[in-house]
Amino acid sequence: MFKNWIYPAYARFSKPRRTQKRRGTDRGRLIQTGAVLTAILGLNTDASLIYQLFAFLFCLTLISRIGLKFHHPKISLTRNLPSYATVGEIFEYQISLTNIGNKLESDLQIRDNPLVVPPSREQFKSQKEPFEDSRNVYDRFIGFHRFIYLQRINTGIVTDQSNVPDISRHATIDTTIKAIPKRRGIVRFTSTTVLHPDPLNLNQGITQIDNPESLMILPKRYKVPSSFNLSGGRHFQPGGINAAWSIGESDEFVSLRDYRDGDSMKKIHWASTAKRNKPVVKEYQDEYFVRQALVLDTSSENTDTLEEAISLAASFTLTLNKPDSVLDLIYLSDKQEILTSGRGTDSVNKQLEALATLSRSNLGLDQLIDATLTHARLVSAYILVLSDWTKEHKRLLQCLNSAKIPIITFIITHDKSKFLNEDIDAHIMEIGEIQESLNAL
Amino acid sequence: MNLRYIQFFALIGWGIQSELLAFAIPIAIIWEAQFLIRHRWTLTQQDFYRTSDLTSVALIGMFIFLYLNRAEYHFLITLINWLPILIFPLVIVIAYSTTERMTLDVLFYSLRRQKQEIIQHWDMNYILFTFCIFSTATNKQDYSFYFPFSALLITLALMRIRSKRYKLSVWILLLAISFLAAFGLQKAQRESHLELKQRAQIWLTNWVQQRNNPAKYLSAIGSVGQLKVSDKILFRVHSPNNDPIPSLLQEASYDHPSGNDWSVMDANFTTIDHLDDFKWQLTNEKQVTDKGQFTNKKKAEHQLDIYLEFYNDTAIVPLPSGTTLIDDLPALEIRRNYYGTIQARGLVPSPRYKIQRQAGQNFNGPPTKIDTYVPTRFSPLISDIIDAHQLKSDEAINSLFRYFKNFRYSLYQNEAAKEKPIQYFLQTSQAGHCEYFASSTVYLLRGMGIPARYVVGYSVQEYSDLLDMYIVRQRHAHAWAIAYIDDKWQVVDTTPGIWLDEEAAQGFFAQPLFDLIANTSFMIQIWWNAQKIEDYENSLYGIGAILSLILLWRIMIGEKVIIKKEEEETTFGNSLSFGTDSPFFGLEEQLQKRGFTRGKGELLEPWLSRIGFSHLLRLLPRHNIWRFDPEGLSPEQQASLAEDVAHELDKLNEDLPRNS
Repeated sequence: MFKNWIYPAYARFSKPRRTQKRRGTDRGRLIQTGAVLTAILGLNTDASLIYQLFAFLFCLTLISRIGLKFHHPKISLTRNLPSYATVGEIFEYQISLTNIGNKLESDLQIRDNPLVVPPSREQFKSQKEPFEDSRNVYDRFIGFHRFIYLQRINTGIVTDQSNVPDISRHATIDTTIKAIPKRRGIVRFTSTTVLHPDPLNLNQGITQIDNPESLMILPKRYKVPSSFNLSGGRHFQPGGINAAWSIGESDEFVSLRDYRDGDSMKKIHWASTAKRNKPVVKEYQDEYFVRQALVLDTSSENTDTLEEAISLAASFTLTLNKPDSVLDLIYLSDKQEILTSGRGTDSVNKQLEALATLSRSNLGLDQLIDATLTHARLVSAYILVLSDWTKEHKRLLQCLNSAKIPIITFIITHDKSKFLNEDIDAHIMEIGEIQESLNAL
Repeated sequence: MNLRYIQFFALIGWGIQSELLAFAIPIAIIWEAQFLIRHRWTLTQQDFYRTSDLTSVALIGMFIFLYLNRAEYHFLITLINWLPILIFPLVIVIAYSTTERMTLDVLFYSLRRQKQEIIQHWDMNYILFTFCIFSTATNKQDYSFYFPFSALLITLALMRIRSKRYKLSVWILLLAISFLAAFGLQKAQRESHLELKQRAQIWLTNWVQQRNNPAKYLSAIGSVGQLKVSDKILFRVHSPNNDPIPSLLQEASYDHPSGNDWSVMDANFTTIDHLDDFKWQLTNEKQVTDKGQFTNKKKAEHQLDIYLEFYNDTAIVPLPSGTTLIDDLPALEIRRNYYGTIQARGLVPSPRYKIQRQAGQNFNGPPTKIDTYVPTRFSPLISDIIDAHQLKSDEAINSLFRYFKNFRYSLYQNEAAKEKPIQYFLQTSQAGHCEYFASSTVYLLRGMGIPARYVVGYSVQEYSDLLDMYIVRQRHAHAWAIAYIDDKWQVVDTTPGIWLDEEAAQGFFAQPLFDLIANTSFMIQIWWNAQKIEDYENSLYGIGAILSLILLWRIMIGEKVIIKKEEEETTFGNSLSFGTDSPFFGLEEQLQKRGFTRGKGELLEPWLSRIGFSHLLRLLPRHNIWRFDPEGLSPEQQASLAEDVAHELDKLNEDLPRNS
């Protein structure tokens, strides 16, 4: 109720205004607050000399503000962003500033402005800040911290204010800006602000320079242990693409072994088969490229589990992309999507970009089953990352199991204890302990 | 200038101006000592919480102390004045700990449970500095001190943060302009405040006089509907010697009816002499003989304590009739009018005043002609009533009580009472509140030829077992008549005795709770006033010393680190300085001093070859190991290198003495 009522006020005041011309520093704010306080306490000039202090603070504030009108910096700038950044990982980038005026520019600061996206009314009402329950009653009721948190998440990146070294006239220098991405996807920068102090150094004048650009933020990734491996039934068999130097088949015979499901009839060693009275196949030097599929379920309505599922998928994408393997990423967006990387097909970055911009899919899980099963004959193993656990998901798992391909399932959940009584062959990953669970693999 | 010195000046300045130098000097010394002592304690967040809680307790204690002693100290001003002392523990704990800034959860209890990281923090040094300037302003020992003092401190503080973007001359100019403007502004503020005060005083006097006026009383007679009364406790009455408690306390009496209200013919006051600062003698032998109506014989005097705190500068003092002496009433002046109304001016809040009185006396001035005047609009009605009910002057009081026997007490008046309220009361409704009864009684007495006056004050009826005192509430405000019979003024209170119950019935349901709170806080205050702080002085110092020792002990047992200049450098810095004690550098220095300049970035080997000292190259491998190998040279190898270097130096001195 209250949140509904206060929402417009937050939305209006938390957005930086384009017309803003001035910013207070900590000391400036201290002086201004002091001026207001002393104005009230000093009303009775008989009782104390606080009114004299008020006169000081008021005049200093006034002169400082007038002083801001002069000596605006004359600067042009360009931003040099990296190609990608990752959620939660601090990165640095450069802004090159050129002094286009005829005076030395000193004591400047810059801050880079991402496009601020306030939360929608619905989001503000329904989505909570992490650990919000530990905040005090007043903060919870007012919801300001929640608003700021959501706005920060929506905006996607937090950048630090940075000091600029002195720039002599017509010179160019680079300034490093530290930033931390807050969510995956594309983050847009709108402008860069150059701040200059007033002569008393109490307030800062603002010069906004339009500087639109965007940056791809990749999902958060976990460290998957190097021992993690998927067994594939068709190891030591020739596969789709040969990594051979010579033209034509150049498979190197290694040994014989028992026939397994999926082995090609062409490779049966008939002599041995006849001798042992059961099928025996020839094994070759392992030139087979491992082709695995990562199946990501994007059906969850819970943003936390969905985000974690995407992060986990991104972690596997990087781990499983070895020089001699191929990885298919299967997921649903507004249609069935299969992205293949490795061995010259496409780079893993394409898959990461897709994961970065992925959102919840409304298509039913049937579509995912369909896509996965159709693909089954091409791959040797599946990794299944589920963002939820419902009857539909159970059916998906059963269908995949029926394809008789090795499969590792991960289920993301808020509460591990729900699965205590269920008999599932899956790794249950509780939010907040995912890295620990991965280490234990 | 360093904050260290600015802070020191600010503390000393505050101490001088606030006359708290005994605190300011130790605080300033402890503050300064942090720059000389290199020990720092690694305190946990819990330790900061404890210190902050200690500060809060001190602040609350200060609040209570100032409230209870508000007669002696100005509450807000004293509190602000002491602020630097109160926040000092926090400042100093941070100064002597390894933490530089204090997060807000230390100050705000509500943030301590929060799981989100608290990034907001305050620099307590700046806060102490600000408080020093601020607190200094509260004391006005010396007008001329504060302005230059704060101007100097602000200049020093601003100099620290001066931006080199602007020339020094611009900065000085703007600061000078600021100070000049501030000087003008504060002058203007002071002047306009004085001007405003003068005007407001005139306006306020007019306004107040209509409300708290010994010369005119505005009655509620004629107002229609239910009269609201409040249960708020106004004061308490206690007799220390168990003397009889007077049932009425008079505020003012009036002789002249004006419309429905009452006023006085003689509005002049005469000042009463005081025996000492707070003691006022209302009658003396001389006065008694002059006026003639008092007997010379000294009567038994009763004592009474009235626990009434005056918050206004000027007020009428409620007194029982026959009061001869007022004690413990801090005021600049006490004056009395002809009608016995006592007004105090320049009052200072004080918990109670004591009085002595002679029972049965009334020191209203003797009757004048006006005391028998009945307004012409009432006279026919009054005559009719006197005739019809055979009210006789020789037994006036009894006949009046007889007449009013059938009247009802009521706080409600209907529309019909609006036009002629007194007539409607006497003829038709026969129901009204005390003002109706008192006014009518005065008119009837005067109609019978007996001088009478209208009196307002309080009725003392409600006894509190808890306090062993009488309680007087706002709704106990009362009006009655006095009649001059047998050469003395006698009270004629014709209001039916039931009026107190009627008004009590209107009370608010939660009033007992409010009473309990009010009475408890009253009792605490009475207890506090009975204490003498000197009795506890030693115990207080003892407790303070024990607490300080506990705090000190806790700090001492805490983990302690020693900050060294070297440690302030980063690890990177340390790795660079590693091995700089190699003796070979001495040799290099001597060579440079002899003019063999080594180019910037020039390696040792090519340099030595270039300047023709190739024989020194044999020392280089050992020097490089000393300089760069983390495992370094063994002590024997170090000694041999040092020896070789010393030998080379001797040779160098022989071959190329410095002065050559």
